[in-house]
Amino acid sequence: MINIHSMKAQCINLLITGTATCIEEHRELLTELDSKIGDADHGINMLRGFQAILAISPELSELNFGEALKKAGMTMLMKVGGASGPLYGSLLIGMSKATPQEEINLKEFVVMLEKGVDDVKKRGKSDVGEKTMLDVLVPVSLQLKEDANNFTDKEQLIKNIIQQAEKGLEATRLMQATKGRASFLGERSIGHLDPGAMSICLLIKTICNIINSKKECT
Amino acid sequence: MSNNVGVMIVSHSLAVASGTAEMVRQIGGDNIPISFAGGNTDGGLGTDVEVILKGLQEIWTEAGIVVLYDLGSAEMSSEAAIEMLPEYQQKKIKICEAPLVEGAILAGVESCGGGHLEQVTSVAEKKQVGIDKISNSIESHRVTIAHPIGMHARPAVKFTQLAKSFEANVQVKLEEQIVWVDAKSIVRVMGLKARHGKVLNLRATGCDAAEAVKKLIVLVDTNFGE
Repeated sequence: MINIHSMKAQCINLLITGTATCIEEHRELLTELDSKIGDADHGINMLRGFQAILAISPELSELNFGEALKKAGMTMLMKVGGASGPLYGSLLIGMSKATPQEEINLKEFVVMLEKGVDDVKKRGKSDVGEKTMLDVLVPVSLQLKEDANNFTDKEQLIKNIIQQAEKGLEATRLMQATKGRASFLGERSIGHLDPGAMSICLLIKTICNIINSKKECT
Repeated sequence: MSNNVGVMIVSHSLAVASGTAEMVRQIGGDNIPISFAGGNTDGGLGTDVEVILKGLQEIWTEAGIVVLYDLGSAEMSSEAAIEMLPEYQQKKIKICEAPLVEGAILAGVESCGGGHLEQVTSVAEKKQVGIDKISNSIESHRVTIAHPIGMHARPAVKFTQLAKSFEANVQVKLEEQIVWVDAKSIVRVMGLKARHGKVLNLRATGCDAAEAVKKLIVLVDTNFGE
């Protein structure tokens, strides 16, 4: 079982730097995917949001985990300027609502993620199967819950999560978009990966790698 | 500022937002509290929750506000901005499902004429109906959507194609809504956002009206053949 107890300032910093770097590195990819089925702004919008979070990283790392999530969510909401702002904002703010005061164990993290995913569904009026970030988030959240209940060891758990995220992402390729700008394309949206599913998949993998490799986040 | 219903315009483009506001102002002048938000924080195309929030605060009156938006994220950003306001204000701010420019102008006309919030909303949204009138005395039929995802793209196509195979004028709506829409229009039917568990109302007039309603109910009942 992952011990997220010691996720403190250093860990928050590592997560912010890691996720911001991930978005920076994949900015072109996200924009390219979005140019196929959307308005080609996902890369720049995500970068704008994560740079804004990075800019307040010293402030965030002083906060407890729930407050940091909430503030990061508000930053995404306010700064991004596209659909990913309210959606990522809802995810983070939703998670913050279920964050315990001090330490977070895996089961509590499962509840946090469920709340965040629920809020994304509400904000986007969407669910799995509509070629969105939810096609990654929902299976990941379910997998995490299952592994938490089964006390799966950390290494296997991280493997399982990454596998679900990648599977969920790949599944969006054959889906027809019914939400967002991509839905205007109708059947022509089929055959392309969803950029939102891609960004959340990349971020989940980054976070998994940080938790797996950095002692501050174990 | 007047006590008429306010009109908030949210577009991805500042030029569209300010141009639409200008057109509404031409109708109502200072009689309509109006504000607009367009573009993202960098001045590019997008939406900015903070600007929307400020606009709503600026034109708030007890009469309420209707929000007209252009595309997806403008709706989500508007919702997010509304949720940051006190609850009593939230209840009096309605996001209209209407084309931005036409909706804003219709809303402006109704607001200017002293219409209350519900009237302004329905008038703005009425523009979308645009179908032959069916008398309210025509019997309405009910069917519940059992399909797990609801009437999304594929089922909506099947639904409208079936409706189109009849001569009858067929209308559909969600039970909780007032406005009937043309059951033969994919845009209108998808616009219902008819999700799993929602109850649809159907009504029709014409020579094969009864058959049309019957077949459409069977289609919904059999999960659109999926």
